[in-house]
Amino acid sequence: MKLSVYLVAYILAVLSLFVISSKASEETGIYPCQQCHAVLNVTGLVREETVHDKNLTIGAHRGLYCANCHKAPTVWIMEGLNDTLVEIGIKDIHSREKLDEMNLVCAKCHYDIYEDYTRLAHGNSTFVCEEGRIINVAGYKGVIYSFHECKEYSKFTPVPARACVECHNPHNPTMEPLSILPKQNYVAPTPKQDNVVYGTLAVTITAMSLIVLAIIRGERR
Amino acid sequence: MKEEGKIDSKKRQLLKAAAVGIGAGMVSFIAIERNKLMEVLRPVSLSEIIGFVEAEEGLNKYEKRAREREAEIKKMCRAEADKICLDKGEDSAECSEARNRCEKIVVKATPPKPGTRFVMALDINKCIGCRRCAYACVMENNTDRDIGIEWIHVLEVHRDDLELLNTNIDYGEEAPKKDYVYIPMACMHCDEPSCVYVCPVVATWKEDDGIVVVDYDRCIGCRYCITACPYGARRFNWKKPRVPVLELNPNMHILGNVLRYPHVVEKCIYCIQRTRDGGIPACVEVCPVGARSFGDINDPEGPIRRILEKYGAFVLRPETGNKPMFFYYFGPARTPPRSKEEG
Repeated sequence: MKLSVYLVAYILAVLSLFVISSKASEETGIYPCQQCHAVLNVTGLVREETVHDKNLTIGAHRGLYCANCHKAPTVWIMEGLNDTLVEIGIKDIHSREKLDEMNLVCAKCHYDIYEDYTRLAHGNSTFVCEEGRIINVAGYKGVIYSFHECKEYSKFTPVPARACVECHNPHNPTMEPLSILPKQNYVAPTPKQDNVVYGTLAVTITAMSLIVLAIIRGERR
Repeated sequence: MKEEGKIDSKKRQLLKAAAVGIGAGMVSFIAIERNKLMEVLRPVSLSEIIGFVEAEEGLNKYEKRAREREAEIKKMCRAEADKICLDKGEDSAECSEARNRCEKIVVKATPPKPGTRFVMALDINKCIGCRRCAYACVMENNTDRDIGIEWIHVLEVHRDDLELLNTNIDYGEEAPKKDYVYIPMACMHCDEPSCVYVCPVVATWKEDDGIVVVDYDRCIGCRYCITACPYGARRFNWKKPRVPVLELNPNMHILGNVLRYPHVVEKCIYCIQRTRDGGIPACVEVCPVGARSFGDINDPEGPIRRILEKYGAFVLRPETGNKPMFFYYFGPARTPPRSKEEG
């Protein structure tokens, strides 16, 4: 009885091995190569090419495969946070929803910064008001100041930070520092000392002459 | 005896002369000041007194003063605008802009929102020391343009040092440098504000939403608070502030950026005219690298909580016991130094 059970189990195990190996010979389960290569003719050197603006074979991206970011069948579909599929490279103006969706692609790797961004700890936010507009003026010492012109200055609606790609180049996200504005005033200039000195001198001379006059007058009497 | 009598008569004459002199002086003084005194001593009607009492008892006692100040500033502004129109002509763009600006002036007295507590955090790794915050602050808060009052000071200090005594404000325009960080410093809105404790006339205090404000009507200009502040955050108006009409910010708050009187103390007020109505401060808005974050520390989903939980924070000069509510932190990535060779 026991022997027959072992025998059946052994036969089944051998059979299943054959099934798996026959499938693996067609394509690996992990990388379905044929799906992409049938359309794309990918040579494998893309990671060093200019399309990414970066050599992806060195640095932090060294361990990445194409399929970590791009999803079949075209390169224009990328994988975002939580396995969402995001279409990139669309030609027309991107809507706010589309930009929010594209943020997920960045968020897949830069999750901490993405969460900073969603909680307004990363990126600049602003606000708008009812029937208002923003005028940028070059003001004090050359600063570009956003002047909010509103009908009523009582109810402002906060506007969250812009999408990742509105500030960062997606292929070279490190931002270079901007120009530095002119020097600051450390302390307010003091009043002109000359005025103070001359004033004191005038008062002293007047007082002295008065005293002298009084003495002379007293002596005469 | 005769001599004594002589002296007495002399004395009497002198006293007489002095009395006459003082009397004449008093009369002339009263005559000159009579009109002014009559203005002060004018009789008050009952309705005025009742109105005043009601305003005092109301929720926001600053509302009435804000209305009065608004009328004053509008009058001043219109006079300035008329001058511009005389110079440039009635049809000029400057003239219409100045008049438009004057009509838009609003002095608010928005009270603090219960349960909020405003806090700012600044990422020292991101800050490049560009000074945009300092100058945008001047524009937003109608600060005097002549004597160069700037509420925010951006200081350069070595990364390993971080000691305020060794900071440098004149670092030129070659920033950011390698191994140097930039610390913009303004009012820290402390929990235990020493400036508030020393004020002899209670002209400055901490509001319920955490903003330390100055009442410019009450300030006597003794500058005790300037001496008491360990951060050097307060500035003094040595003269009547001059703000060009074309650069005037019409959005004002009675405890914030309302035009100051001469000889009063002023300081950062977290742009009270913006933040209490749902906006964000000008320095946060203008920062080109997004180094500043502003929000309510009681909001569990807000930026401040995120920063404090994720990156932690430190304050400047904790040993003073002022408990500052302005946090500095080192964020995840640093803006690269300007020079490639140095970097």
